[in-house]
Amino acid sequence: MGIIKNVLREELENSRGMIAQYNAALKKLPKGALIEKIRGKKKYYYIQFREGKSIKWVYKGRMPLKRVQEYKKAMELRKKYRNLLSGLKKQEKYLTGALRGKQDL
Amino acid sequence: MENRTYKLSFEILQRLDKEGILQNFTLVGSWCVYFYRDYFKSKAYISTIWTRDMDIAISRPVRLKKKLNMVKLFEEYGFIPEYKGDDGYLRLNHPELIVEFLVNEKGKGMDGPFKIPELNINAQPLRFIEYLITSSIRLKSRKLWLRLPHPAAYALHKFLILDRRRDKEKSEKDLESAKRVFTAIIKKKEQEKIYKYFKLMHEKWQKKVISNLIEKGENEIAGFLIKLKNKHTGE
Repeated sequence: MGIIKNVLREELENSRGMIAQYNAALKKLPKGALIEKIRGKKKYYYIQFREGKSIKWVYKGRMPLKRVQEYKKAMELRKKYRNLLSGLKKQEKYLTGALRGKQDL
Repeated sequence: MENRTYKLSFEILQRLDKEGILQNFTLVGSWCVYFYRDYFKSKAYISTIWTRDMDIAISRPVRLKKKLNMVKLFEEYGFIPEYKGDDGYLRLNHPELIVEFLVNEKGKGMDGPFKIPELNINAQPLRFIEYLITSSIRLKSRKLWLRLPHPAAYALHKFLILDRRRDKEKSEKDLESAKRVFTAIIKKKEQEKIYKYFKLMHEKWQKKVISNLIEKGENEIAGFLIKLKNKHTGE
């Protein structure tokens, strides 16, 4: 039993550490979603983000392809990190419960 | 949670294989026990508890055919790099898997991590890692050829480091896992393999294995190893 509890405790510590790391990584990523608008034959970009209850749009104009790709990559990464963070929070809840004896081991 | 962990670990290993780098790595640590299922191919073998930590050992000197940025590769899967403690060795964190790199610690030891610029990683130097690497076998698991220490070497190494663990419960976990693997080898009638890998150890290490086992009250295993050695040396 001591071994199992020790493993669970280690896993819980790891999960908590990772929650902090994913939150920090999310903060480092550029805020908002990149929205593409086509006017005529040209593409223009906006950054859309939430501020309190309202949605804000920031006009970025025409952007080099490299910058667009960077933004898109960051958006994908944010989505991935958010999903993983959600999983980590579930893990933390489960492990905390298991260590308190509220979950079946 | 478990299935996702296996899926991710295989995905990573497959990617490393595709990059042509997997054969430079030896899987060590508790994850070996999971793959030993393919070695024993028997229901008698029951794997032990393991955490999501996957330890990868790299031989020194590092000889790689190509350069590969491991941090970038793992980031693609959502891993976050963490440089642990003052030493700054790399740990790649993911909710389902934690990957660490190990190298053999030689001589008086190193103050900091062992840098491998070809892979953009800082590996953690640990004693006796070379033993695990030199006693490795190739094992096929889900169409993937993996390099990992022979189960006998895995168990003997765990017995060897029993007194090095600061955490008493971790030491118990190590002992438990090593005993299960050791028993499975005997059930498979591979006593000679045990001797082969015991003989591969330095005389001092062999004595340490025996004394550690006796200290933990594992007199039966210690006696078995002494008998096995005497049988071969004719003492």
